[in-house]
Amino acid sequence: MSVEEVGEAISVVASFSGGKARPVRFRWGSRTYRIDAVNGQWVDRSGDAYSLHYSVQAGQETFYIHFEAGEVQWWLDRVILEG
Amino acid sequence: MGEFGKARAFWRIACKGGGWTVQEMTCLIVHVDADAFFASVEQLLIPALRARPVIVGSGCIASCSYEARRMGLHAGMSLVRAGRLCPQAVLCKGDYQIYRCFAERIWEICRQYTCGLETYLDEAYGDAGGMERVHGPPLTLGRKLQQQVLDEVGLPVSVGLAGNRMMAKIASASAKPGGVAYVQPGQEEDFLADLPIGKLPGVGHKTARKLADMNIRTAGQLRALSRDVLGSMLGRRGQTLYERCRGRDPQVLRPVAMPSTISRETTFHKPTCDRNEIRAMLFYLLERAMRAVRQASLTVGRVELSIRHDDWKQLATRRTLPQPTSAEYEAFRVVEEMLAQMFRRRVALRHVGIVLSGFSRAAGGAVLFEPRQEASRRRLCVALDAIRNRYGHAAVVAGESISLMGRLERNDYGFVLRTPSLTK
Repeated sequence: MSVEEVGEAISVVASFSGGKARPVRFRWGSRTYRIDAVNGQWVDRSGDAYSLHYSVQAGQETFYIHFEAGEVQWWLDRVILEG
Repeated sequence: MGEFGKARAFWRIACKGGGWTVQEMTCLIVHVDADAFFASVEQLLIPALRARPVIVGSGCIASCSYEARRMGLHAGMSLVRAGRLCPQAVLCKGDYQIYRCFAERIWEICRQYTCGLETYLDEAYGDAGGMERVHGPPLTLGRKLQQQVLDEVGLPVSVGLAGNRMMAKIASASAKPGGVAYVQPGQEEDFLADLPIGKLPGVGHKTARKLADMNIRTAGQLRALSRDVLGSMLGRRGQTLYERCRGRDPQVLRPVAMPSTISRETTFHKPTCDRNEIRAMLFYLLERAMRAVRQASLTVGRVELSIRHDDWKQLATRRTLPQPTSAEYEAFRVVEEMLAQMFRRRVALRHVGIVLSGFSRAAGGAVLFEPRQEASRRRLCVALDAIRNRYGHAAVVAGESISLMGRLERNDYGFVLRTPSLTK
């Protein structure tokens, strides 16, 4: 299993319903990733503003992304590849 | 507190005839314990890790999945030994900020079932007395709580319910993994009869060996010894064990606003004799611990320093501070004195830790007759907290911690330590 720390801003399409946000797909570089599943999510309230964090699955790859509420910006934190 | 260490609450209800009757209610303590917490979070977030042996740690195992435990691995084991026992285990460095966020979510759910919650990183105690009227009998309450955590957070927890703190914890441990256990009032002695003596709180390895030499291997067997005999063998601890082996525990719940200790500890990336590095690390750990003290609006009365040499010899000493404080600069002078006393051998240190205790409520503003220098240090700490609350702990590196720059990596949360401490 390999883990790559990324730390890049990304574009995300998400659905907002019932007080929850759920990412649906995102664009990193020139490629668009369709999110097959949200593995887990958590809220980080340390700092001045909160951030919504997700572990999402796109095919065989796992991505950690988060939405920074203060900046209104999505970020790709890390990519985990099996093998 | 009533007899047997049980608290009792009294309710008044109107009976059909219009008069009042007094109904007595026993205490119901809930203990919630996340199963293989760090490893479970990793397996939740990374599907490729599910059903595989997973280790979280650096140097030694901080947490391992149940698949790894079946291979003989356990918390505290060195990674070298773990690698020999289970070469197929996947090692994760761990991300403690993520674990804290998941723990906070679990405790939010627990607060729906309890009044007052005493939380630690991967376990919590709550008072569910009276909540049966909302959630049903104790086992039903426990199962609902467990299922809600699984549904909303995705993590397995074990739940123990009993009339006191100690029994609730023993109950949850007996139900692991993923179980719920309830010890009815009056059933404590039966429940403890076959409990291995080492699992009774207050019985460490040495005491367990001493008792095993007397052929006492279970809590039930320990009851054969009188209070006087236990007292003469073990002093005040013996008196406590006399009560505990009978299921009695006088400890009360402490909602998180007043912890018993706040600690920070870590292992060095490489064992070191460099006094500058050791002092810098101790200042950094103290800084982190004191920030938690200030956030809880407390002051500290005692500080304990522990060091572990590279030959695994461990020393610890505790001192009362000249006056209660919430500023690390004042406590650090005492820590330096303790370090000078303890660190005298030419064997490198591999691990250091700070434990703060003796808390009291902060005065809430300026302290009358506070010396000017201490007042300005306290204001400095408060100002640094404001910056760090907004921009993250790493926004400012202060005091002796500066010596860690260039030695350790940093992220938004601060220096990346090899084995970040757990606050208990």
